[in-house]
Amino acid sequence: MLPRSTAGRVLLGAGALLLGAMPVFAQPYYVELGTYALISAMLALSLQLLVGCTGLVSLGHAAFYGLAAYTVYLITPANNGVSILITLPAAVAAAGLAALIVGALSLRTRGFFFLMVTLAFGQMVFFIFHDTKLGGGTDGAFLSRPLLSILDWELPLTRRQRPIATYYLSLGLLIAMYLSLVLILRSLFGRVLEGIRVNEHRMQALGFNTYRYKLAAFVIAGLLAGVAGHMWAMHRGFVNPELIGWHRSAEALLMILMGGLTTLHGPIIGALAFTGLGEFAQLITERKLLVEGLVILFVVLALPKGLSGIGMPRWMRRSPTTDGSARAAAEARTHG
Amino acid sequence: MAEARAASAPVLTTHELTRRFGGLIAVSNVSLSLHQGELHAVIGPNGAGKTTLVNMLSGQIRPTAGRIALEGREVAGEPVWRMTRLGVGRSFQRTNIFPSLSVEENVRLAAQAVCKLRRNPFKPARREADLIEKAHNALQRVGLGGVTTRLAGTLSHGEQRQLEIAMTLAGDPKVLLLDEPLAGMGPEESQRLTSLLKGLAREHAVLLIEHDMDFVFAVADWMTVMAEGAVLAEGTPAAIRANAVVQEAYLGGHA
Repeated sequence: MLPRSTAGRVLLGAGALLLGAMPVFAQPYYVELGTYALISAMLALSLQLLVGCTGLVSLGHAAFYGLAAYTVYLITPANNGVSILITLPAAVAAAGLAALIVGALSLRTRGFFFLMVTLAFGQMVFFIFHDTKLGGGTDGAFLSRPLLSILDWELPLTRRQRPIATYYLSLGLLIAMYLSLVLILRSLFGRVLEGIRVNEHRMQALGFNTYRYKLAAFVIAGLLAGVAGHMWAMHRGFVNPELIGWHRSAEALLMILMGGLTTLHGPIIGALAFTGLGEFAQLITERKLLVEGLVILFVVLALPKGLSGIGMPRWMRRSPTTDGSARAAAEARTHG
Repeated sequence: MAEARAASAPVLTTHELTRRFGGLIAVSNVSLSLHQGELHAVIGPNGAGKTTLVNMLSGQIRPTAGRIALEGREVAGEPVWRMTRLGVGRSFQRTNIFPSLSVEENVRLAAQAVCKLRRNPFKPARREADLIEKAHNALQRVGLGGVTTRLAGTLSHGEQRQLEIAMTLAGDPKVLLLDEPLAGMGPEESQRLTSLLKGLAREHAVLLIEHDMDFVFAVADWMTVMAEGAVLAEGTPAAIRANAVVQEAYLGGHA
């Protein structure tokens, strides 16, 4: 899950610096696109805690993301922004609460049934906002964006600076999310999740109540998806049911698949690539989804470990503890 | 069957334990007791219900009827993770480990699962030195002290069986349920396991299922013979060897 070699860590740091420098030389359009990619990366990263770390494939993850965005809309009075110090905790708490309820029920099932139950819950949340007037119905609704303010002091930003501030806030939150997940995976709790991914029955026989651990992971993933949803509301100032629907959940899964199931930075790389791919496909053709589909198919078939699995020559991949070939052999055996 | 039995109070007892699968009665009215310091072997032909019995004792499946008492406490129907935490450890007939994790991590997880101290779950796992030390002790005991950093999936079959036992030991069990620990082991590895088992039986109540009759008669203190889900006979190895019913039904002149 975590980069083992020094070279890998250096590359990740360089990538973060590149993202940090991007608004300095990029046009405003690309800064906005970058913000969207960072938000998608947060969504995919939050889902990776379930998919790649615990082995739980959910098709309803966008529900928590969308619910957080709608929470920002619902607590914001018309024509008047609210401080991010209020909107962010509220959105994250709403997403976490929903994840607690959905997780408590859906985690009683496994495998394919879990996939279907999470899909059903996601679509239920979708139709709540799709079929009622709660959030503007099918058309969605505009909202006043959350303000970067502390108490009564608001960060003095011009119209041009605001998207840049949102970009850096998203980048900061993404990095914080990544580092928190690194700490979680190294903790006693994270080791249990890894054990559950490899062999859940054995974990129960060892004495772990795996249901509780999976529920905790589900809630943490929901909270983190809430951070992403909040940033969407702040970025676009608009919410609609598409945020919640299963398409968005499936996109997040595709990002993980593209970037790599076995690493924590995979979903980030996958989300950036996926967003870039969508933009590129739109430039060259009117059949955007067809191009996207073909490229994703190619990546998944040609790179079983995703984009994060390519690139580094053998001497850079050396890990301090385990012999690389032994690890590969063991992984082949588990996945075979 | 007048032989004297270990005098200590039983650690685990079953009373008329029964499990049906639809119309099939896999285990029928089995009553037995496991004592501290005693190696209790359960033998019987394939399909006699031995593994179903172990699955009920370890909480993998619920009994249809009957009782299980662990140190006087009724535990029938408790989920598997609670049975382990209460002190019933088991090893599996088919090797059941975490192949992509290190040998140390396999055993460390077992120690973490049952640790009584309240711990901060978000503390880095490698700072919990007591769990790592416990894992190393269990690995030393089964003879895997030299391969702790290897990935479990790269061990030989025999070593994986040893790892399986180390994982069970790290869970601090009072009762050890060993389901065919010798399956697929070479003679040298079997030898080492025999002496290990004798040592373990002094500190734990051990229930052993095994098909290798020479091995069973060499290590067992007490035996239960099962056939078609029911107890056919029980007694000391010498008494079982001499029992005419058992001879006819199962041993087939082997003894």
